[in-house]
Amino acid sequence: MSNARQADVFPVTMTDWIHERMSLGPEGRRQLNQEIMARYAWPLQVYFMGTRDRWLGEPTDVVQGFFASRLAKADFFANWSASGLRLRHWLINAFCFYLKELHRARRKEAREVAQADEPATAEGNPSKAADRAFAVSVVREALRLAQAQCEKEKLGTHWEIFLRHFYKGEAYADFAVDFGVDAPRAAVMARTARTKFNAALRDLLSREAPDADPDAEILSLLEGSGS
Amino acid sequence: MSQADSFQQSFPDESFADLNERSALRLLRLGLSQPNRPIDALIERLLAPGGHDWFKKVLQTPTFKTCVGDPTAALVTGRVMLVQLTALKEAAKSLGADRDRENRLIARVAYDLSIAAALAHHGRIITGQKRSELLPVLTDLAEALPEPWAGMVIRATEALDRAE
Repeated sequence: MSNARQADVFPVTMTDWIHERMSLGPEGRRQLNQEIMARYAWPLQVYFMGTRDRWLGEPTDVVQGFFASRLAKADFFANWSASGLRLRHWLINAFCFYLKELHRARRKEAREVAQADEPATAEGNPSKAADRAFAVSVVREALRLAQAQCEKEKLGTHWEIFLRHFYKGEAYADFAVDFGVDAPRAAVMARTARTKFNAALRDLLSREAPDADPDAEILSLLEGSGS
Repeated sequence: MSQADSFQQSFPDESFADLNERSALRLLRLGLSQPNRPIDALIERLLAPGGHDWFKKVLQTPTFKTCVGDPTAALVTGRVMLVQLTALKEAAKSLGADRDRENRLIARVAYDLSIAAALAHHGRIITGQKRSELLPVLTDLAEALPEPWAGMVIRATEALDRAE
């Protein structure tokens, strides 16, 4: 697919992200799959734990099996884009079908007739639980990316201060002296690292849907969590 | 090796594995863009050279004295009634309409500190702002304030989750 045609399918940010990886060949596709798994494995495991199909296997194994089955498909990303859904919601839909396939396979293996042939049904609201897990997952990845960026730019101390304050919840005044600065200076240094974190977070969320607005994605996740 | 096994081998390492949901949501809020919020003018003033000295002088202005007496005892230590904090907030709203920029900044200090103190010491929200809007405002303000004021505002953000 040419750049021009792909741009018609995916808006700029998503196009850049996917196309950059795809252009690297099999290694790029592996990286892309890796990024998807890093961000969505945990939300899907949480979703799985909220369904009545928990008996199908260990959450980690089931989700890895799902990724192995679906990420290998060449049209995976094109289908997602065509769906118009947020990636996590599209993955959940696909995951439900995968669970149904697993369900049938297990039934066949065990010649089991007692279970009704129905899609994975939920107990409680596993989609909401998966959204909350996605929030944790995406923040975790943004932290990793921001940390790498700070290390690259020799901002290790700024990053440490950011973590002590925003991750561990410590007051600047309680730890600033550990870094040889006063509390106001620590706050300014943390702000520098925070900018890196914000950029990483917003970048990840901008890939969540073809027309994703990071602010809308954040508010959606916050509202979904009851905040 | 099965396909699932090969994916297992390439699964990413877990770091920040101890990140819990509550902390994640707090960090998530940091990502919201903040275009032209009223609080940003105050934060800019606080972070400018001499900002903390300016803040100490603000606390001695009549707005604070009239409504809560000693601002440190009232707002940081918590020796203040909720009605006094509401009065401080209302006084701040009146002053906030002033044409003088300095007075509007003083009003912003009084407004946000009254809301934060009501949360920190009484567990009450005395503003109509949404929680999802209030939290980033208070978090950013805490970053810019000197201690012990920053600590009080951080306690307010912690109280926000369980506040009425």
